[in-house]
Amino acid sequence: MNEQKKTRLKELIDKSAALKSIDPAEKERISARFMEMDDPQADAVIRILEESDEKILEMTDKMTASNKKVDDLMMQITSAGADLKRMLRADQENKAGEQERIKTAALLDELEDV
Amino acid sequence: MAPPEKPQGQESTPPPEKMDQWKYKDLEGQVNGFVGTVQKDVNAVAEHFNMVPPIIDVTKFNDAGECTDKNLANRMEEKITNPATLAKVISMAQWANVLKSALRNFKDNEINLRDAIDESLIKIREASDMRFSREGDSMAGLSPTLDSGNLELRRHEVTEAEAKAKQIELLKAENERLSQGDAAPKEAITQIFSQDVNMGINAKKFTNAEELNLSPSLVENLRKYCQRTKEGVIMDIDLGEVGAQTIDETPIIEQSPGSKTIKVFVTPSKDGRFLQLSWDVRIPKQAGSVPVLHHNVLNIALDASAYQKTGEETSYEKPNLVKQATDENAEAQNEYVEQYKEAIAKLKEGRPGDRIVFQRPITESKGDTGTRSYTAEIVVVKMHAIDGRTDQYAVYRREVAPERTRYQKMNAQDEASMDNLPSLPAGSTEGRISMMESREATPAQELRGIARSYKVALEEFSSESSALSLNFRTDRSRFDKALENVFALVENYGVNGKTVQMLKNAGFKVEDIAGDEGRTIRVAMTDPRTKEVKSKEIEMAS
Repeated sequence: MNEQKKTRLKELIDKSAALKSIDPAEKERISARFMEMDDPQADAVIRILEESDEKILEMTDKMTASNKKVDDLMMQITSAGADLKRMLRADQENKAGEQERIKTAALLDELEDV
Repeated sequence: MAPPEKPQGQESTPPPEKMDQWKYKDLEGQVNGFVGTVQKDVNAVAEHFNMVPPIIDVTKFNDAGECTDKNLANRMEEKITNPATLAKVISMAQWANVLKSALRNFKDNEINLRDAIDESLIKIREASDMRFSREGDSMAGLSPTLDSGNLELRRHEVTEAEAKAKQIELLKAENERLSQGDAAPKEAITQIFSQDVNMGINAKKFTNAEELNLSPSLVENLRKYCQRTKEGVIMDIDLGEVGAQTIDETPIIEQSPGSKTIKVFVTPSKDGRFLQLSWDVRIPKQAGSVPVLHHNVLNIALDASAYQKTGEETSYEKPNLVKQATDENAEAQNEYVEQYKEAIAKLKEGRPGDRIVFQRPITESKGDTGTRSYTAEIVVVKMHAIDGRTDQYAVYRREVAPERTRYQKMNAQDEASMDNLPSLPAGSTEGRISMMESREATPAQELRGIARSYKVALEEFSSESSALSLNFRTDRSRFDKALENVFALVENYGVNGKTVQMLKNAGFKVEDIAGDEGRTIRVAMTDPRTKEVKSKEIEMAS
């Protein structure tokens, strides 16, 4: 394998999203095996690594998007919950105010009767 | 979402911080908390408007925000006269459902991401394990592109293959350390068990040194260790924080996250030729105090030159697509794997219950007494994928020459179903792969398993409380799939008294009706949500 391919392969192995999740010793072993390959074999491996990472990137993007959607919804719900509580307080106050108004009207009626 | 455009010459690899994002999100817990909060808020509204009891249940609102309970809707309209407050209550309930839906989407994406990583790892490991010659032979089997057919075939192997590869690597690394000094093998053993428990893998599948691919020097180290301990030892091994998992045992339970310590028993066999490691894990049920014992035994042959297959799992012989090329009899093994691949490829197009039969010569090592050769008949059966995601296959094996034995199920713990695999017609499958007629089989056990799964799906589906507990496995597709499977099974295999009773127990209505020719039965089930009756009339083979 020529030096250019070796460098490329090394870069891909170092940054591989799939290989991030495995034991460093195994990663080292895989890396060593790849470095022994001839040109056509190295080309095949480079393609595998590139395509794998592209697929993983796509999935990661989807994860990030759905993650954000859940976060956004939670914010909306938090805000709606606060609104609802405000409404309930206002309603409580209105009720109290209405009762006061009724009491006052009744008192006025009584006074007028007198 | 499509991946963002990459500048010329840059890698497609996601930046590390991006890869890590999904790992640390305990979204399920957060969403559960939020839905609980929403329910509290909505309950407060109900209380405020003197609507207790009953409380306003967020599960009684559909994704469009419509209240599906007419009585509740009427009471709300009657009591909550302020349109703005009513709208807000409805939107809160609606949002709770949208949030759950978004979380389901998140979980699906997470599964897809894990699948993508698993598939990539398989591909990469396979490439690195290929045995290629210096004379310029091509790397057989190394496809330069991600072949979707092959990936499909491997998908059901991924977890086990990955777990095994991981364990092998850990053991090899530990072996090197042990070879250099006096270090006790406790760490290696800890790692084996930690992997087993953390990954929810049943380590019974790795019952001998050969399957674990233990190096002779590691076996030698374990033997020395065992000699030192003489009578064997008990190790308390702290596995640290163990995540939630499903253990492949009956009853299936979810284990709560927490710190786990297990006792590991290291015992030499009486004749000194085996080292037995056994361990018990007591897993508390989430909603009760009855512990479930998860017991595993690992036998390791101490004679490094002649690995023995030991213990009760001697019939386990599922082809391992990853380490095929490293086997000593690589040619025979590869041929077997090719047959297996071909069988799976054909079955992919088939229906549940379809099977492929082929034969292969097997030579087993008998240790000191030499080897034993015989012809085995392998049966690969397409199973029923209740989750609708992954095809599943059962593999059976039996000796056909020099003697005929009963079938042994090789890739599952459910040994009870072995007895029900029927005898196959002699001579019908010699030397070739052939699709058998489904009607020749009557796997009542299989049908029972499907009906049981169906019943569970039915119960979950009809349980309102499960909607709040965010059980992602329960959805319409699973329900419909289970129903479809039951109909297909009845159609393929027919029914007898036992299966009729079993179907009835699972909630089906089974009745005889007059048919044009022979016997016809109707199997019916009422959809618990729509109340729609789904039925199938099946003409039974005479």
